[in-house]
Amino acid sequence: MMNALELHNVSKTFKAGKNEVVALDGLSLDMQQGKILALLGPNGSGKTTTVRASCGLLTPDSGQVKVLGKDISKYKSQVLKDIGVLLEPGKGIFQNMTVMENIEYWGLLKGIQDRRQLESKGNELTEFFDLEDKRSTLANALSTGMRQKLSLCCTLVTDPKIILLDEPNVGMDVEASLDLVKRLRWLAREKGCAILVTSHQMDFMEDLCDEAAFISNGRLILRGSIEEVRWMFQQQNYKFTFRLPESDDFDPYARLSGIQSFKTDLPNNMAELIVDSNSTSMNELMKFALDELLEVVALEVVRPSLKECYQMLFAEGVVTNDNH
Amino acid sequence: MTTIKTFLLVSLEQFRIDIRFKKRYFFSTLITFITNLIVMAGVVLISMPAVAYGEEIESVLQLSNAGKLIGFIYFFLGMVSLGLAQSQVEGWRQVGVIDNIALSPLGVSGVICTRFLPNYLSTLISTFISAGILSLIFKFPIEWHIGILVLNSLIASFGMFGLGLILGGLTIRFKQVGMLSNLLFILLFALGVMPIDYDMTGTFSPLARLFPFTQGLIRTRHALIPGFEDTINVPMFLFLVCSFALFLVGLFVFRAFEKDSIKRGTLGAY
Repeated sequence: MMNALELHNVSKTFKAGKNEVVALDGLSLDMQQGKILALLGPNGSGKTTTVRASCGLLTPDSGQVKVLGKDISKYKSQVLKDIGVLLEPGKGIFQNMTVMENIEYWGLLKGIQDRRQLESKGNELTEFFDLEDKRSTLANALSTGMRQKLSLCCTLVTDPKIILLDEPNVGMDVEASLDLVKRLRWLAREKGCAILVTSHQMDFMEDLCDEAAFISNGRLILRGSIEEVRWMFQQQNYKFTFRLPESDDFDPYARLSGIQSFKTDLPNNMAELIVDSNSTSMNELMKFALDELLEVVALEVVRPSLKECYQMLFAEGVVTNDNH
Repeated sequence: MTTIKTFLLVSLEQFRIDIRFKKRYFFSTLITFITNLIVMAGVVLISMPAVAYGEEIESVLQLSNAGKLIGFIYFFLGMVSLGLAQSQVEGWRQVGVIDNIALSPLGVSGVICTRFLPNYLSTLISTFISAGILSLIFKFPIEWHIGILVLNSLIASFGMFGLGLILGGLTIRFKQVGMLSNLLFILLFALGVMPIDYDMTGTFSPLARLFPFTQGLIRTRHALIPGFEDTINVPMFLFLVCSFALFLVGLFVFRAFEKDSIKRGTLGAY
């Protein structure tokens, strides 16, 4: 299958006075149709530069960007209609135009020439993003979350095959954010869109994306499906829920090693113990339960969340970002 | 072909948007109109005291007044066309849409070009109304050959728009060129109201013959002021060539700066 987006060995250095900042350092990345890729990394790691280079808003110093198999530096005007880009949260819209005027104007600018098509597309998108009762409302009268939804409408007006979203859920409440996940997943599954997303909200990214690419100092440091990434960290935990025994000398720390957390303040006298599987095996855990005559309610295998993977990778010093 | 069609459709849409905005922000439109009217009246009153005498005005002054009023109309049109590219670039940057515009098939320069005609017409109508009101108030006689005024001012404004594209390009690259455009506005004003000799013998004549703004002004003054109709000494061909040449140079410079800023990744930086 042809890749929707390919970045081959892309490098970009910015000059800031006498200093030079390496934003991208030989980054190679690809995306397939129908997949949602999370681009993760700390501030200044090169995420936004990657998005801008992917849509031709920035010319790399070296390397190649291909959109649907075509080199963007040579065929930019041909491939632009296939790319939808959301660049800055709440931006990319005219504040003094209404919701429908914005969608229609951006559609026209991006090459939709049939006014009826523009109108029906506007109606479809406003319904899709629950903005149908705001069609005649000026953009500056919308809430931050709604403005973000309008920006997304304008991004999607041409039915792009590749969607690049930089912080798409900024300003959205939890419900709207979950709704956005549903809608973007629908676009990927049903319409076959390739979606590249950057965000620092890891729960949102974990719900939304199929794959994750971690970048630091403009270099790709880890890439895989969300499941693969979680397995890669080998930090599998056991979550053990049981009724707390009445004896005063119950002390799991004396018997088990690798305890990540031990909560005893749950309702109905329940307790929750999370143990690192590398330190304590399932058998040892079961033996402990039998010896202590525990009333076991549940025993689950818990793998780290994307947020924990991210923290292990960046916050705990496995990788540093020394650009800034 | 598709790009040309998109260009034409976006140009038409700009007309609709202009009309819509004038209705939506009627009060603001009215205030702008009144402000321009007062400025124009002030210029008429200060620079031409003879108008106070109404119909008793001396014929020589009357010619001078008529010429200066035409110059003032040209100044408004030239100023709006000159400042268009720069104000669009600054405005789009502030609102945060310039990157998205750059991702449209027309590009930033193309979308700015779609705004030229609606912008020109809107200013022309408002300036005509202002001049009409002033001529009624001060019983200021002026020959209204609208066709001649429109044709010449359109070509002159197109050249000014080209010069403005250079300013717009500089704005993309250097951000702060506002003072330069203010200086150019003052120069335009001076050129508009200065009595460039009808026979083109003055100090500025060689420059005036090649600069689209003054070319249009001279042609219009000669055509509209009685007694000078047959003395037009700036040929239409030269006028068109100079205006288009300035536009093409402006477009080239603007696109070069646009391309450079994409290379640097600074297009949307505000």
